[in-house]
Amino acid sequence: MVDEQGERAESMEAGQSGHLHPISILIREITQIFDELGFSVAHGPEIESEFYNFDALNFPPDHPSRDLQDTFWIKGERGNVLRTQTSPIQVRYMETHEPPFRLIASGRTFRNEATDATHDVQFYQCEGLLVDDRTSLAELKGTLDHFLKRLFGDDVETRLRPGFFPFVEPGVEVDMRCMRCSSDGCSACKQSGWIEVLGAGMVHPNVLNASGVDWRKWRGFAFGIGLDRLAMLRWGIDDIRSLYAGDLRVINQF
Amino acid sequence: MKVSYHWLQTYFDTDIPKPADLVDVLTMHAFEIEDVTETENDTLIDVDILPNRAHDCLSHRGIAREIALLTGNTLVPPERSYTGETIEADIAVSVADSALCPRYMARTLTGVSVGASPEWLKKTLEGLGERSINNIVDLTNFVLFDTGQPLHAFDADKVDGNMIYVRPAEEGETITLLDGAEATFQGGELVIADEKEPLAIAGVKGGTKAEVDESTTRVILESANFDATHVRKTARTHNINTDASKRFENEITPELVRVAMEELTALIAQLSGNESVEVSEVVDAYPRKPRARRVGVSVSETNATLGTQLTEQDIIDICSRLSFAPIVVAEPASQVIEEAEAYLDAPYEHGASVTYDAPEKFDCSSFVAFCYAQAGIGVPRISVDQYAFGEAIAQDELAPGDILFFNSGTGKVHYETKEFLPGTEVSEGIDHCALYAGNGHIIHASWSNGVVVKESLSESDLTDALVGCRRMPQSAESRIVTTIPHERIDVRRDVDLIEEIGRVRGYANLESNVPAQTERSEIDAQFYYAQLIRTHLCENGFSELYLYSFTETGKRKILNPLSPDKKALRTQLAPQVADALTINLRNSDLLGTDTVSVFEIGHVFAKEEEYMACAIAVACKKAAGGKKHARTILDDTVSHLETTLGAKTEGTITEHESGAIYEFNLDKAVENLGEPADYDKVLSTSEVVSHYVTPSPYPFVVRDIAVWVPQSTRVEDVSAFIQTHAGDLLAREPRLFDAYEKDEHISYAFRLVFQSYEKTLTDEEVNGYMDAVYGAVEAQKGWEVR
Repeated sequence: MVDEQGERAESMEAGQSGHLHPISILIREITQIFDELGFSVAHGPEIESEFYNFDALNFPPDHPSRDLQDTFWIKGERGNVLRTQTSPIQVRYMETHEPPFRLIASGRTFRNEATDATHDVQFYQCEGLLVDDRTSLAELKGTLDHFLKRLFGDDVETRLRPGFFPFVEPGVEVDMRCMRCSSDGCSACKQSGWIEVLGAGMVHPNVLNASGVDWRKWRGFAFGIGLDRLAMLRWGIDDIRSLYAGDLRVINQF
Repeated sequence: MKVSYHWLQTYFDTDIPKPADLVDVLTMHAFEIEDVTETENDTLIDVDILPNRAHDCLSHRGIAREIALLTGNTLVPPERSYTGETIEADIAVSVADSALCPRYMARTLTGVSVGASPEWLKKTLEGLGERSINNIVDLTNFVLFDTGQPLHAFDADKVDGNMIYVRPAEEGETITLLDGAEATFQGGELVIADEKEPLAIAGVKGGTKAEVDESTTRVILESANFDATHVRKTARTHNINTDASKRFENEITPELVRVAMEELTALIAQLSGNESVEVSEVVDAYPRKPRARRVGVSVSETNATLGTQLTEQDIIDICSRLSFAPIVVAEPASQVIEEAEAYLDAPYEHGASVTYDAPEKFDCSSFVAFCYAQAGIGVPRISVDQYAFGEAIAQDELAPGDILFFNSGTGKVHYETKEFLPGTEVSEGIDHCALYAGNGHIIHASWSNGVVVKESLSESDLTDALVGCRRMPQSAESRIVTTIPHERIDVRRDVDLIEEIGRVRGYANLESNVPAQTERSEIDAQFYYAQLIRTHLCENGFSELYLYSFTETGKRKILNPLSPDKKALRTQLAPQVADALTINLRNSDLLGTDTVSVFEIGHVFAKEEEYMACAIAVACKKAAGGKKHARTILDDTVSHLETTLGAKTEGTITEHESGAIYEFNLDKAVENLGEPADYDKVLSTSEVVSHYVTPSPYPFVVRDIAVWVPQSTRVEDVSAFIQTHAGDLLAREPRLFDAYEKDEHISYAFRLVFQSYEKTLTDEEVNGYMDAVYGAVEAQKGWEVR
């Protein structure tokens, strides 16, 4: 009887599909959008050298800009860190490719900060880079507008405002109209009606220089997006840690 | 940094925009605003100042300058400089290393009376979250928040001797700090000391020895500038972070020292209220004054970078608003020579700094870099880099402003670049450079002459050492050249200026252009196959987990772990996947399955090696065949996957009490797989959820029910009927786990799961819901609870 029950149950569930992790869903959607624009997929290691994670990205040694990213260091491996951002992939790609190029890279990143519902020690970023001889901030804006419209629908409203990331100059942050409150102001948008979704800018000549790209000839733009935050916004997930709990009560909703 | 709206208003005679509008303007053109708090009679705005603007904007003065820039209100700084009489300085200052302390200014004030601060001062500081201590200390803080310059006051009568020493600490020296803590120096940390012992950790925190208190009548005021990196290291070593160390760490201009000193002096003299305060002249140790930086841009490169159509006048207007004193240099190359001619006979010094030594002294390449900077063109500092940076031209193409490079054998000959595309080979070897002045003449800072000279190239000793000629990029086009105010340490080069132009103009009306489509240049096989595996496993009922990279033990460990159970990196996926199997089996009723099928694809960290692994796992409850059956499913799954991939994988099995996990090295597997053509088949998503529901933190309760119904009754109808009558706390649709036919009747057995989002359900409560179901079923004609 037990076996029979088991078989029945199994047969009843046969054909049921499994579920992709929500971050995987986002990575696929984003990659699809940028693949169509000619961005090549790239990837890199999670343990990075200080050179790729900081120096080449124009974070000077012993500089307060490094405090913006609380870093995990690897024991007994001087100068090795858990990457705090996916941007090292940019540098690795530039070192090994001749411009012009476009790349899109997603991956796990790490920050040594106290965890709560919106912060975890690990999270995902997606990184884009375009280098050619004529690109501009206006093209960056157009690219990100296109991307966010594809991801969230044509009526998404975005704005660019100044931001600071050592590896870009000018640097911008991209906000989206808050979807939760339709810009009336809520906890998700800190009452501002806008939600920060992307950091971006024109690649700093120092980064091109460190990556062996002749910045007299080539210009680039780059952007980075926090995928956990995006997932939380899009689906109303209230605790980032639930993404890494291995809990099918969460995953099977996707 | 928190700023007071009223304080900001004191910088203007005109009304600045209301707080809400101010926040909008600052957000769109300058800074992110963290928070706005209304207080009884003020509004506090918490401005997020990041390292690029921490040089000039960690102060009310800095924010006020931004407001003036962005709103058009004219900045009218309150006149707070001390204008009274001074007596001769009665102290002296000794600075051991001006690299660590570029400027130290001090003066004494005699006849001050220390006491409680007046109400306005108390309120102002308390508004910013600062504790009031006494009038003198509060005023040093007030001037800090006003100007951004940290200051300190010492009780002069407690200082031994008349000399203030700025020197490295000896190893083992100690100091008692103002908060009572003891600090022992490692040696090398810069301290402010009297002839006996340290009085303060320079730029970080004061000590108790010369603490200002109620009995103080004579103070030494300090306004100084300390090296950013040194202060940062010292603050880290002693784990002390103060308003002072934060500002020094971010580098502030030594030019601010006097402004703040005069303001503090005026305020103390004014507050002490009596004519009897004697103010000494300042002593000012300031050996190397930085030169105001020149930065230029062309209209075309500005527009090309921003994607705008700004005119020369637009750019000049914005630079004027920024107080960057723009001028137009129509012919930069001629300007370079004009500059060069002006410094003939300036002394030569090897390694002379462009920022601090020019135009008093030069070496060959600092002379070239300086003359170009004056014309608004940034070129590398070192001659070998200048050589690689410039465009090669023939000697007969030389025009004024071009650069000649030599391998004279008199200096150190460089064969590869240092800073411009570091490591680029320059086989010719470079040790000297000179500007071409026209008519066969060169101007150069000459080691052999000891000064900047103009001479005929053909008659020069260098003629035979000529290696090549270069024309600097951008030297042919008209440039807008600005002189950057000292406090704007962040504006160093063309792109920094372009950013200023862009953000002042605003990004709201920037055009939005999508770049022309191109073909992707390559396919990432790892990404492709990881996606292919995801698709394959999902189609076969497996759900994807993302678990933590951190574990308690592993081959590669974290130097600074967040918690003891996260002090290493995972060497394989299986152990955590096994835990996930256990957890999810416990929830199997809630999940509506007796079989848990999951996978993870993620990085693991074996010794020295990091790779992408894939773990596939199945566990079955006893009812579904248990461990044995799970293993069968797993083996089938792996074999199907290998068919899909077109190759075998080499993995290992990890046992679980109710199943097993198969894990393999995905990077290695990919090496044996073909080059994919595109991502078309592997990027599809089928989104089912529109809004996510957080799982309840409370336990669920399971009840089974079997119902006899006529054979003609459809199982879906029975299920729906039960669902309707089970109440709102039924966590999922009833799950059929048995069907049994007899005498034209059929028995359907369902499992019901109840769960509340608000509390733990009691048996009685659930019994109540079941009674409602029983009652409703019994009331149906021909239905019967079994």
